Amino acid sequence: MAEYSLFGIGFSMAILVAVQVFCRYILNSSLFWSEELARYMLVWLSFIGATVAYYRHLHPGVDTVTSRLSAANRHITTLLVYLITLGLGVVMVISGTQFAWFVRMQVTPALSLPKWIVLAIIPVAGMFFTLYALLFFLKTLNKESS
Amino acid sequence: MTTQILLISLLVLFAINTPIAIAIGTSAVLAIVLQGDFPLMMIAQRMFSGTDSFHLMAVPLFMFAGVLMEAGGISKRIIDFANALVGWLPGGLAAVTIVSAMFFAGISGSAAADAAAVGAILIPAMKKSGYDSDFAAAVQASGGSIGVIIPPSIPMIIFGFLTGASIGQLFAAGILPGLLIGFSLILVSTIISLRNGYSSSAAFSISETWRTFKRGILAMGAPIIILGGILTGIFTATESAAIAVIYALVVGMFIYKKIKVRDLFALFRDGAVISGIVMFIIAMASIFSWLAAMEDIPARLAGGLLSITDNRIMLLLLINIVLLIAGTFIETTAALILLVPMITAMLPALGIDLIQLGVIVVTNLAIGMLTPPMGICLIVSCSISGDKIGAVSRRVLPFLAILIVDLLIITFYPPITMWMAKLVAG
Repeated sequence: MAEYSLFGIGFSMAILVAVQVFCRYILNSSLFWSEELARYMLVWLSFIGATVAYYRHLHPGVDTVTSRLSAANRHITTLLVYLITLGLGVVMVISGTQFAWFVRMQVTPALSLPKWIVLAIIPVAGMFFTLYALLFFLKTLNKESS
Repeated sequence: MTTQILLISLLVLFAINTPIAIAIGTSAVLAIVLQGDFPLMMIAQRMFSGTDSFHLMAVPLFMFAGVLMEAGGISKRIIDFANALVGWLPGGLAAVTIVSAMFFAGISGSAAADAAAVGAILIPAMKKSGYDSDFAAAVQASGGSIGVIIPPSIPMIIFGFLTGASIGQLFAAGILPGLLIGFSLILVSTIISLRNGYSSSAAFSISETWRTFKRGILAMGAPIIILGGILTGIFTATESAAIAVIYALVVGMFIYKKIKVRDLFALFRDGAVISGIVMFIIAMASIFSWLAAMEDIPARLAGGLLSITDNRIMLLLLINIVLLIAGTFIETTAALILLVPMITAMLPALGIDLIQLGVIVVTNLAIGMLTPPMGICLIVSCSISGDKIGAVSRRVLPFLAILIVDLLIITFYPPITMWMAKLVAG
């Protein structure tokens, strides 16, 4: 699901910006809504992309210190990092929901979209970060006992 | 108090191998929660405003363009043309690697993509021709770093986003430094190859050069569209990126016929995931840098550096040292967002143009990409060649030395950046 939406958003964003150039130079009339829509697509693409990247363990970290630790200690830091991520995910859910609620009456300037729809991606991404972190935490914990 | 929480928690989080974005976000959240001066809602607000930008749209768009061109068979044609151009040199394949990386840099905005696209073909080719594997990886890592200096460049886009500098001018300013670095790397690789007796990979022939040029002309059309459009002011950087995506789609699908409709899903998905990594760091770092600005941290750090010396040459050297060290430990995007506010606070004392400063910053971080532990080009090249990072790092040293010389030229000789930048209307 998430991966299809990445393709959909990414592809249409490229087309949209290209169409915007076409309209300005060839048709000589600028679209008033394309920039705003493309920007909101970028926000969604960023958070969905980050979530998929987290699921695949692609976010880079610095392993200079941890690579010198013993296996047992490294196990502890790994678990700790999952807990930290889980905490940040929860903060994204709470803070994102508060913010979306705060702007619930606002609409976007050009498209008149309800602004909370655009912002909803932050708590949703936070929820997935929380779930994945919990999943990874439990998996790592089980590896120790087995 | 906030300052201490931010800096100490960041160091601890980095040390335990927390993903960069999550470390930066967590330390900002800790500071907000422990201080209690700001509502929690500010976190989501900053994350949103950090990603809601027309300029930053160029990040995923250039990623898409790079992924599409590579899948469209463009890398192979670029390498063939580079082989005809410089394959006759001693250590021909090493020079071909660097020249290919330069051409590819004109298409992709990311050094890692650059190293991966060219390295996947040339590292195995060099090993087969009897080059030391760790030398092959070192050449590729060094060449890959040009990816962020020759435009388009994602770090330059982020620098422009942070400082308000014109991204078009930054791109223009990167052209000559990119060429300088490319040629100086070839010089070093040729000297090393002469010593090790690596032979050339092709005899020079004008007809072969012309043939491969014709075959590759469409591939090389992309940089011309991107740069031409930006330099003449027809497109913004973001728009040129979208045009480059369309161009890559048309060439890859209908002319070279390498990309099938069913491939598109995976290509766009992969480009979006890589962009997601960069954009998530930006989102998290915009909470951090907002808090840091509230606490006046950039100005205080800048004041600290200024109290060491107010001689502008010493200051420029100092900034280079800080950036080089930061670049080896911190991922590029994060280093930009954390350090650029401090550096631009010193701009009046430096007496140089913001655009030149941008190229200096990006060059430093590019050098950081080939030094361990956080050297992305080094990591990519080692994963292709199968060598240990330590072994390759030693072979990178001569290239590193010449890169530092190039950096000093870029720092102290403004025309190399500003001459092209001035041709572009701000």
